[in-house]
Amino acid sequence: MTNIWKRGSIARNPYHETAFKALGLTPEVTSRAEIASRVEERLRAVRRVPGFYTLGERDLTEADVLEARRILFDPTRRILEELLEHRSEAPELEELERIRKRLEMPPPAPASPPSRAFLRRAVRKLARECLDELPVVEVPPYPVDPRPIPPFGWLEVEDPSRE
Amino acid sequence: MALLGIDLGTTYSVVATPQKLEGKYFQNVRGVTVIKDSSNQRLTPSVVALSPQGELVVGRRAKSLAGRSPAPILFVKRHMGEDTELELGDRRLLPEMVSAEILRFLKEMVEKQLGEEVEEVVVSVPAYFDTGQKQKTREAAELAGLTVGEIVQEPVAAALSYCAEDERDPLTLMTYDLGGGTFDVSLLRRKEGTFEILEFDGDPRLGGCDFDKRLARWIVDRLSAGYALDLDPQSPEWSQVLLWAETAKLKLTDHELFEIRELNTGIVDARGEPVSVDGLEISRETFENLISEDVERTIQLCRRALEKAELRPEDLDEIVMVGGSSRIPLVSRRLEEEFGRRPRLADPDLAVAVGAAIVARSLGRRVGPLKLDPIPESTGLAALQLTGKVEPSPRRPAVAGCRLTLVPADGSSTQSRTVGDDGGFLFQVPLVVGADHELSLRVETHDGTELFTHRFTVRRHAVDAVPEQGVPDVLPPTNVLAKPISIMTVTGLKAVAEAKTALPYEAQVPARTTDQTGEVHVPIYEADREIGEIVVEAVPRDLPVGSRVEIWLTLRSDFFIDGRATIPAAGIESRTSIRIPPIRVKSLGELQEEFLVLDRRSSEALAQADRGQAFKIAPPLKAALKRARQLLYEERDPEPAKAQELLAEIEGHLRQLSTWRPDPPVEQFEATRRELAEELLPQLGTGNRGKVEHEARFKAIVEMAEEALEAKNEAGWGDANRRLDDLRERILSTLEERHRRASGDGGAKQPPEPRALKLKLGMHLTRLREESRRKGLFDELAGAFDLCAKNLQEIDASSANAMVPLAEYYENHHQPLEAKVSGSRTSRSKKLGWVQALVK
Repeated sequence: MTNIWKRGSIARNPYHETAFKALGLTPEVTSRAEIASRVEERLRAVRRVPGFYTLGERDLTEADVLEARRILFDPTRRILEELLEHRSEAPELEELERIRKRLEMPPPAPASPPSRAFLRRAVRKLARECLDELPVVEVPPYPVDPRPIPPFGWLEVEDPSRE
Repeated sequence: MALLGIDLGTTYSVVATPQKLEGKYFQNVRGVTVIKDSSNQRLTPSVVALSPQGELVVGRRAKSLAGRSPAPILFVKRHMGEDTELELGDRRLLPEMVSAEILRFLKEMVEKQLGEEVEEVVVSVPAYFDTGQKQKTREAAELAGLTVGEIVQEPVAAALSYCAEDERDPLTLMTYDLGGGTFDVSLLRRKEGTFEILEFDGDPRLGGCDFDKRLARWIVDRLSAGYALDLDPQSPEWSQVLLWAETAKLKLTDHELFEIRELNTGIVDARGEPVSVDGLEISRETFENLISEDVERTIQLCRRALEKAELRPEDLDEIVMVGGSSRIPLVSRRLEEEFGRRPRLADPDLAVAVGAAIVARSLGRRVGPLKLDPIPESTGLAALQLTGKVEPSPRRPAVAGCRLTLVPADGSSTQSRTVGDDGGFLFQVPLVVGADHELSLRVETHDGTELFTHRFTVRRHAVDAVPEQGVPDVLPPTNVLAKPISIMTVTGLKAVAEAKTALPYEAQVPARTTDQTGEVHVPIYEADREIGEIVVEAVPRDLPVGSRVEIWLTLRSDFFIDGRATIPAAGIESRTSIRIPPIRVKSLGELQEEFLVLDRRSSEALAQADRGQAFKIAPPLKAALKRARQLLYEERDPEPAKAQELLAEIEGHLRQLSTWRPDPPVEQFEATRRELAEELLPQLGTGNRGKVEHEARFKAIVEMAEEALEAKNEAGWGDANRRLDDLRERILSTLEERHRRASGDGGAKQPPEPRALKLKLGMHLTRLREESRRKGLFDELAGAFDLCAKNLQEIDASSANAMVPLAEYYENHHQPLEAKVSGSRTSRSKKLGWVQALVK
């Protein structure tokens, strides 16, 4: 079986030249009719206006489109190709948007100005809730930036020794 | 301007158009229109003849000239792709020129019936036509003044025609296409409205015309009882007998008996007596006996196709028979017996042309100054892609700068494009589900003058709605390879593109150099036939063996091959465009000679092959030998090209059978390996860093050799052996040096230690072997080398008096062999002077 992660030419990025990219489809598309229609469309586009579509750093060719068809119609090759793609992230983004909106909601106004300890507890509670509600993310097979993402990056870290 | 699908057959041709037309000369079949000729016939004979006035005539008129001199050209498709010149009176015509005449005749006939010009065509070819034959078919169409949009395989076209009325989905179909001159079997699957070619097979030299020839020979044999007949297959008389045979074949499809009654044949026998046929009876049984072997071959090819596709007969939903010869009752009977399903006869004469016309629907259409790719009336896609090109015209030869504007009827989101030199354009229009989108495409010149406006409507239907009943949504890629394309390497053919690969196709093949000859040759093969070569010249001779070579092949849709090879270490690149050469058909004498050699080689190879291989290869090999023998020695008019293909098939079987003989032999490798493992490496002592490195290297080399041996990788095996010898030499030098140091300056004068001497002699023997190869002496001395190696290996160097057998070996075997290789005692033997001294 082909090792898709085998080191190849450094001039080519396999993640940018997948069959899905060649056809402008996401891995969620499984209908043969839709794939075949897209193949026909792309073939016409490539014949009529070469260079209209690109694949990685170069122009998409008829051979690329036909190869993409072969890959996506072959179950084994399709699975391997899916490994080079990221699933669409739209649902997760929606989830984050919902949480962001919730964080922006003003807390109920207290009778008197809240103490720093109250605020700290409230923020911790909220942060825990946010963490619980975040979708489970699998460890990606590539290096990630370990710095915290907002909103945690905005919080000042208090020095407990001050209290 | 009309689009056409053309079935360019061996015996008959048929034309159809995707347009729906009514009239005397039109017949609607499965949504397209078959165009009849002026005699109101759908089938036009693929015959070219010379009229008494000396002009070329085609079709029915040409066929009516059979029996006159010069004999008309029949079955030209069988010669497509060959370099054979066909004689017609004093004219010599290449097969593609004859086909061009047929196509020109069809074009003129259609233009007359339709009253419009032919714009673009789809031409069908047998599935098993190789790339060169397809190239020649395209060339013939171009010679006839036709623009070829696609080349479609006949069984694929036939399947598309059948599926226009069978709406089952999924559907697995076997198309059995027994035409006038070719046989194709194809397995196709329709799934979710898309077609896939699962497998195909066939014989481009088996068809109804072979049945006619067999029957014609039978008729001549019967007539020979009363007449002195010895008809030349090129003579007009023979073509007349062929016509009787064809008539008889057709009649025997519906009747058990047929009688030929031709009192005035016009044929005169060798004694000058006029030949008269007065009631020659032919029964269906006789006819079936004559053709049964050919029909069995078609069944065998069907079985082979099923095997290759990993399908069982019960996986088939339908067996569809097309091609005129599939009407013969024996064919359907045998198919049913073999595959347990009654085959269906589906417009056997028209199906291919109808399918080609269905494919022609997908070609762009001329609309005003535009060539517009098909616009669906309804689509399930979220956006419409509108593509095409602005065509140049005599009044406006340059199209660059023309402006196209796409305007929705509601005036929203107007888009504009300015085209370049080639005139191509592309628009994308978002579509709303359930809505009708009215659009107009306006064309203006670069100065703003409006040339043309095209209005059309597109509807977006829900994804699960069926857009058009009975017609497959998406056609399969039609330009596909019939046979694999490979490159030849030292280990054999390496596939670059498998059969069924849709064109264009690009492939990159990494390779390595195997010698230092200053050139790299990459021969390219289509199945077993070499069709071209990429040559990289001026490669530095000091470039190490094993240097990387990158090979790129582009198989173009016009069936040319672009090749490129680079050697990065030397910074050299070579490019070539390969036009597949015509097949040179050998003479009968040459072929008979070749057959005798192949026959002998086959017996030898089968005797030597291992049982598994022989079991697998023997049946097809023997069948091919039998057919070749019949064709070359028993047939009255053997077809040399057919025999040549059979010999190539036999050659292919033999290649599979041939056993690889490792060079140097495995015994030599084993001897060296043992010596290193048991004698040399232990002498390096323990705790030695050098020893650890040598051991690791030794292990890696042995693994490499074992892998090469298993993969029958000749280059790898040679490389591993060279590395092993190098390692042995290096260790030996280390040991000698150590020995010299241990015994002071006088060490060199001491007699060598027997084990070291044995190794040194072994190494010298290897060098002699290489030298003999360079001098072309190895074949002659191979036995002597084997004997030397055996004798040396048997000497126990650890015994107390090992020097005696070593000296005897040297005097009786080693030295005489060295003398034969070197011609005289060379400087190399002087290096071994201490051995000579020892012997004396």
